[in-house]
Amino acid sequence: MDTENKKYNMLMDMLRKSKPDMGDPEILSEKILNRIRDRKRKVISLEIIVDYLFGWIYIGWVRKSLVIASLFIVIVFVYQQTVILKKVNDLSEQIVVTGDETFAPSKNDLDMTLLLYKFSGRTIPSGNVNIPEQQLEQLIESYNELKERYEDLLKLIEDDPELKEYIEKSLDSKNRESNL
Amino acid sequence: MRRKKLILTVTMILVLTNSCDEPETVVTNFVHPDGSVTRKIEMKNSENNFKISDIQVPFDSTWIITDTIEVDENSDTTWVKRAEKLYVNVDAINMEYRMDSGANRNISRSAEFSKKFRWFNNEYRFVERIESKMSHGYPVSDFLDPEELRFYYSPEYLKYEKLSGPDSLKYKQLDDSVEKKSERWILKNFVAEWIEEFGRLTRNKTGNNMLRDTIKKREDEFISLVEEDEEKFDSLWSNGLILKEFIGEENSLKYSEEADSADGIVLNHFWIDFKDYSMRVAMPGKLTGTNGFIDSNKILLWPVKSNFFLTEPYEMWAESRIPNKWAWIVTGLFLIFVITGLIIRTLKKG
Repeated sequence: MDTENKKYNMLMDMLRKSKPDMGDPEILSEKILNRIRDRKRKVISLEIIVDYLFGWIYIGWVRKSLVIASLFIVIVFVYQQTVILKKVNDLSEQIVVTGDETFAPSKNDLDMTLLLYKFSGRTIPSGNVNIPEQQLEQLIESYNELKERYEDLLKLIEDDPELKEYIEKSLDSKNRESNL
Repeated sequence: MRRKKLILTVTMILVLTNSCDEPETVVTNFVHPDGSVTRKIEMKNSENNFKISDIQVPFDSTWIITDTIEVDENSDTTWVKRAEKLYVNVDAINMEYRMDSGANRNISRSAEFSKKFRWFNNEYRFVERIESKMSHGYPVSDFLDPEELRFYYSPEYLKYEKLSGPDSLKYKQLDDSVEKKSERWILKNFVAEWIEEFGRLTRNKTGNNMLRDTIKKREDEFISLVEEDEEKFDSLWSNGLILKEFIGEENSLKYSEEADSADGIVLNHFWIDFKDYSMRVAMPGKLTGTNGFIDSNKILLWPVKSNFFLTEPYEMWAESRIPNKWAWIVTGLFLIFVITGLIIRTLKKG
């Protein structure tokens, strides 16, 4: 163990006494200087790029033009979005339908047809006239309703002898007038 | 009561005319961003009875057709015929409209599509237009207020829903008002058209517009006379009493033939040979405007009835937009660039 310790201590002494070998100190200093120069170059090139890209900030008319263009774009954007928003709001007020979208003729359509028929001298133009089934059903329904009411009226007259007599008399006198 | 009497009078005649079980038709246009249109037709009928002559829009052998049968909970069968066709643009649709030999061939129809570049968005507009049949009529908007107009142009089932819904009383009043006013509208159109036709025919003989101008000045009076003496209208007309009242005895005898001819011409304008249907449109992108009704799938709906284009063109239009994503990115980068430049300038100044 003593021998090993002695060898270790000797080796340590030798290392402590020996100075580092610089080799070529000029190359080393050159390398250090180059590194410092590179750092400066990088900073300079970034500045060049920034100046290249944003050089316009030093030119008055370009700067003003770009600011005006930006403002114009913002105004256009705001205007377009406002118009769209207004349209969409108007749209939301429109009626949303959820039913069966197939066409079905209405009572008013029938009224129109009848009105035209009446003012056209009770004539229907030549050619093929198609009456949708729904309209026809409405007509028959109305006819049946009228017939029913007419029957009710007849029954009412039959049940009331006084009313019957009065109506018969009225009809007779009317017939006589028309015969004259 | 008056209506019922009329119904009774006309029922037998109508029964004798061709009454057929017509299919209910919905025409749907799917508009694409490039302007092409996929048109779909759906026809429903309680019988398997579909005739090409019944189809409301131009139809030929190039359509892809599928037939299905639907049976509801009451075991009622509905026959459904579906057809589909892709049109490369609206010009192709318009060409078919011009060459139409179908049920609505007598009506002038057209479609329009426009795409506008608006930097942040592309705006689309699609219009289906039906030209008016009359030249001298009055717009229905002169007779109905906005609420009545909305009701007037509503799909039938929507009217039915309102008339049987919680505000039924209000809507029944509205319905009655619309009915009454639209009757007057029809009558006024009939008279206006007759006056113009009569004026045109008599001008050929007299060489001036004197007779037309004389009656036109008293148009409202003419209408009132017709309305007041509705029951006697036929006899008053055939005896020439109405004409005599307005243009004098001598002229009424002289131009009675022209008066009857004008009546016939006007009648043909009114009896429009047209099969009603429903039109639907699905626009590309987000919907921004329309004059139609919107369904739950954001598909637009219009009923198409002959009264709607009697005196003015019936336009069914829709607008939509699709955002230009690249334009948003370019604009954002530009604004960042300008703002950064201004910040750098401020920093350097400081």
